[in-house]
Amino acid sequence: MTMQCGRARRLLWPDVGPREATAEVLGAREHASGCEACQSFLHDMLRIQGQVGHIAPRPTAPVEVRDRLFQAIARARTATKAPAPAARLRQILIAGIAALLALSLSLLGYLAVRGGSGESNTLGSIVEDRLRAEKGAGLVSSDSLQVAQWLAERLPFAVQVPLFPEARLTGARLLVANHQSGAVVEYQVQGRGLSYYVLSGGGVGLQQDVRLSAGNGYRVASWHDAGLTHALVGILPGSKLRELARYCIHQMMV
Amino acid sequence: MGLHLKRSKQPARAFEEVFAEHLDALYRTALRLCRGHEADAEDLLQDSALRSFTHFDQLKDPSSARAWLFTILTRTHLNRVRSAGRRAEATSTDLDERAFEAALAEWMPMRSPAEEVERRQLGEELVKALDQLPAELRGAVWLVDVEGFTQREAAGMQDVPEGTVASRLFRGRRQLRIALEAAAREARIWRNQ
Repeated sequence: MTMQCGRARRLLWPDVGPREATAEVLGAREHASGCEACQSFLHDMLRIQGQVGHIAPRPTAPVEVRDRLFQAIARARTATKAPAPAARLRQILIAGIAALLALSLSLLGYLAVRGGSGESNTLGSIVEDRLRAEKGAGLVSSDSLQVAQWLAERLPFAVQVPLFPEARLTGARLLVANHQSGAVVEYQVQGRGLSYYVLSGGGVGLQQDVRLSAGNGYRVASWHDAGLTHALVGILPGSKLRELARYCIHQMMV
Repeated sequence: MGLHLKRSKQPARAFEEVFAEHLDALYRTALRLCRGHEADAEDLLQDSALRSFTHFDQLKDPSSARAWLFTILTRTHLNRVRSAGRRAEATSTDLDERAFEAALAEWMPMRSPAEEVERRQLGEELVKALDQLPAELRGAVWLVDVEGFTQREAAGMQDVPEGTVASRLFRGRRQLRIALEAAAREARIWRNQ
């Protein structure tokens, strides 16, 4: 009797879809119709399944986890993206334009040395502004993925768009300063603007020392990693800026 | 329907849309597979996301995206548990058919009406009981009883025969029953005091 119950329960085990009505299955059904224990067993299985499904907690992915995941995907996408023929052509064109502009900058630098430093700064800024315009003015977006992708298409290095607690991403723009190309990612924190700068050129390896400086009412927290200079600029207390910088470094290491 | 439109977009963007659609379910499953350890769950989920992204072109039928993502998540987890034993996680030995039938025959009918217990309290007890299950049993119970996959789908995800999933479900539910009944008993005692 015991094994008969076990066999019947095995054959009538719930959640296997329609069963072929073999003689054995029909026998199991007949057995179960007259066996209270087997009926109870089948009922209990469905009951536990229902209870587990009903009461199991269903947390949603926290925002920071979501952001980190999509950043990882964005990094993978940038790393694996092989340039298409059209993209290669565009890269060659961009490289040509960059070389031409570099030559112009050198020429302007030479003229500036001859003509005085004031004129040099003005002309340098004009050229840098032209170079900036060449690459596209900027992007207004609160989507970190979109911002990362926009920057990836315009810069020779990957920019990880950090996400800060209490900060709202508002967009990004390109920067050319001291002949270096870079990115500026803009945020709003407690109603104030916060800019995250990434520029090519900087120390080799991760240098986690955050340096604080100030100028014209703005505070700057800066650090270096693997050939890039990072800086957070805003009208925020130094301690807050340092905390945000640490947060930023942590995200990069993750 | 929307998925077909998504597939016509850039593959990377299409992947992100599909992944975002199922992210919450994947996250809570990863969380349970990792017995509530948030950092491990995020690590597992990120690993699975990158694998899914790399092999996204292998997803031929967009309507099966959910099962496909869960398969990658489940197998990544099981591989981690089995390899190197770097997590102190129990794994189960599956029953053969005879042993399974014998175990089925020993089932005693349930008495405690667990519905009486506060859902929240029961939820906590359930989570504790789930986390104590060996990885394979926990995975089977979660996939079928919570996420609503069929036994056949769960078998595909865990890469085992359907009968093995049935046996894992039974053994998992048998252990959960003990926890649910204990919680119900305790709640009755508290109510009657």
